[in-house]
Amino acid sequence: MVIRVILIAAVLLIGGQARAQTLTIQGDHFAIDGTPRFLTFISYFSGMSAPHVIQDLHLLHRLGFDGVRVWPNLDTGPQLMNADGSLRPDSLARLLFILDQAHQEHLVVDITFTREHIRGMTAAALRAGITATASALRTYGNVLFDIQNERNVTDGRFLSEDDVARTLHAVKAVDPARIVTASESRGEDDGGSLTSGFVARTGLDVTAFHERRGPDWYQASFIEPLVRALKTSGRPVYLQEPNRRGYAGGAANDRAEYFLQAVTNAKQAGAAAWCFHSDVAFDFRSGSEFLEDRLRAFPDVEWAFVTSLVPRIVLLTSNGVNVLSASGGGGGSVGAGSTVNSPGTWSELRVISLSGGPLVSGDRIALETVSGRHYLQADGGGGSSLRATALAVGGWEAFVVERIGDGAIRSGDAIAFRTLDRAAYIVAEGGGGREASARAFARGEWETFTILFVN
Amino acid sequence: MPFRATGCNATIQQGWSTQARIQETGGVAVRVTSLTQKLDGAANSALTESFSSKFAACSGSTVAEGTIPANASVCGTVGICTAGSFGNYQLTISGTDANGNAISVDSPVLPFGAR
Repeated sequence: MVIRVILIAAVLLIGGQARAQTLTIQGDHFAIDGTPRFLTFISYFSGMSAPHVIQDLHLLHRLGFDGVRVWPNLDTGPQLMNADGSLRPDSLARLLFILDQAHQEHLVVDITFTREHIRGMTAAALRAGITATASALRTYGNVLFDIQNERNVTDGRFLSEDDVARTLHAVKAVDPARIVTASESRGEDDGGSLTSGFVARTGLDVTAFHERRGPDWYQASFIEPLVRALKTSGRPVYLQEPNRRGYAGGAANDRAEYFLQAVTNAKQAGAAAWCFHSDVAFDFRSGSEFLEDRLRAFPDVEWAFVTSLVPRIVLLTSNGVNVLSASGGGGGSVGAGSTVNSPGTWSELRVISLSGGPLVSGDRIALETVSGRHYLQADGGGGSSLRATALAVGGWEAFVVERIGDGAIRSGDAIAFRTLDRAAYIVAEGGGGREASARAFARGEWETFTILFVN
Repeated sequence: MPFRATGCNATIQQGWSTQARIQETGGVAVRVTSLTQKLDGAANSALTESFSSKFAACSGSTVAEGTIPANASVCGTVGICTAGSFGNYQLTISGTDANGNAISVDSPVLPFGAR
């Protein structure tokens, strides 16, 4: 027997995860392929003229977004409709191309119509155009319609309640399954109630709301009562245009942290969806061609926010010395035999939220190893070994994350992972320094980990 | 072993690290039962770790955990992530080969590069 120790260099590859894409409504939440999920959108208003849609949407999927919000009538690029509501064939082809790419990337598309960008367009013409669009898009399950952006604002955007209802019925006549909303912008204290009433009267599927952008816009004390009022419609609540960086007159919009708090508070308040409202994709006629470059141009807010949606974490065991790690970076066992001082990446995990949105106690999640191909798996659904050999997420790879004390999960929090199938907990035997398994059926010290975000 | 100002691991940015390959060349498989990592010649509790938490199959191969098959290799990252100061690193593995012989192998002493 002869053994040599040789020093070599390493290369790591990190990949993404797959996600489904047929949008439906379950109660007051959205569902993707039948599974309820909180949706995180991003403004991509000028998608019709974006030079690199394929790369842009691939990036957004990899970053963890669920969807994009596109304005197909925006006047910064090809417009979908003529003033009489007829569709421009080239523009329709462009929109279908975007939808096809979104389908490829498992993204939902919020198609928001803006009558004010088509000179001379009447409400009836808008209705004709939207109906024609609905007819052309019948085969796309990854789409929702916003009949008119901020329909209650009394300028070129205004669309009466009757016109909204007529357009809704026209769309449903050609595509009963199409999810339809009409957004409102209200700064009044009772704005949530007003919009909720409007949605209930018209029969829209979703309550899409643009709230005031005061200094407390991101705080739970503002968002919770707002969402509560909006939810009285019984429809999913979609906060479609919260504050954005650089908004004139806006406050508390210069750090990603505000936006992270806002989306977390929206999810915890019971909203169904939230849009990261950024102006970087408002106009592609000048500036960087790629969305990634535009996002990176603003390290804080944009890049810091978009890179936080799929957290990379390390799990410190209760002895404070060891970390959970996947041997070989995935494909083998999972143990707690590494220390926090150990070099390398095998202890890094990506949190894949199966519930959607920022990490909150009670969420269903999967843990992807640094290989980018493997997921932690509780053999038999719990009560047995823990390994990192799974190549897809099913019942054995799904865990419920429990924060001690509930609420939003932040770096440094004490958490536990319970298997979905058998309610067993991941345990670091001895509190660390030994093997890890999913054999525990009660949550104690050895089942408690300190989560460290390392994005 | 080179010093890294960033990226030593996800939570401790600085430290010394390098990739290591342990290769069996005598044609007899080995089961490794212990790993000892030393800093400046002394075992260090910050690096009290299991062999399988440090070494696994090299890319493109498969290896049963805790073993080094005959004429095969295992790979891992060695060193320490720390803001402290140390001069060198060495690991020792012990175990039993397929013929029942106890084995113990020391790696070369790896001097740490300058911060």
